[in-house]
Amino acid sequence: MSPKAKLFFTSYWILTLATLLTAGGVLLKWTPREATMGDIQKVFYIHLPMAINTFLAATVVFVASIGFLLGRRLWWDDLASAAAKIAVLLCAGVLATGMIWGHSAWGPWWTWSPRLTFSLMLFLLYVVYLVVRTSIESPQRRAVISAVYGIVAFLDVPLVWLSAKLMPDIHPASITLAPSMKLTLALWFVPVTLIAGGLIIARYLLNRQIREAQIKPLSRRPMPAPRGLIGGAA
Amino acid sequence: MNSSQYTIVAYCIALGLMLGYAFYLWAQSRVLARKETRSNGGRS
Repeated sequence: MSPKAKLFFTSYWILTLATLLTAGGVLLKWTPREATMGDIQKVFYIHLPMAINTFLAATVVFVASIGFLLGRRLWWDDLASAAAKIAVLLCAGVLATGMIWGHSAWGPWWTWSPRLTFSLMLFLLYVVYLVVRTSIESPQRRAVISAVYGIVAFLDVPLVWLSAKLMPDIHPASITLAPSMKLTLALWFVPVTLIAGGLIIARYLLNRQIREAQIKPLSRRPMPAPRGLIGGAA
Repeated sequence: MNSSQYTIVAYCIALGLMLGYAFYLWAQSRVLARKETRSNGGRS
């Protein structure tokens, strides 16, 4: 990595940490306690930004998959695979925080409501995406199959988004927040989005580095001598 | 566990996942860079 890129990444992560500490400070000191649910409602400030960033990561997979199918450049595949990993990570966080919130506020850890079911499906779809990738050896073939799968898997994103609006669900269709709560939510969006974006970029660069490292040893091999020069049948 | 403790656990899981993965990527890139240096005969 060049010194300029190193400086960029160091500044990026320092900024992310600073925004995270600011958001955490505001949450602890300034954000009011919700009257009916109490402290557990504060899970909302990380639950929603993670959910939105899951959608963004899934969108990156979708766009990169289309990009690969149109251009057949393997870096699109590196990007799609990086975003899929982050989508799985964020979706796991969304499911875990949602389950804890649900258990503390209402009792059960899980209900098969439409949004929860589609969210679990989204998580499993991208886990399968990653599993499928590991089972295909040829990079080109893996990229093509993953791209097609990545496009189809994205169809679940609008289902998760619309499920609470169109069907009865434990999630409210719309939320009314006090101004101080809105500000806290907006503040939490910044570090979570920066972390998600930084993770996608870091994973993408690593994927590319690994791919190039796998190609290098092949290109360093000496070219086989022409058969005619070593006494073979010319 | 009370509601505050559940909130702390939820934040620890969420931030632990994200920051833990960031640390994992950093460590993996260090390992890869070291391997690359070794395969280049000590030149970075």
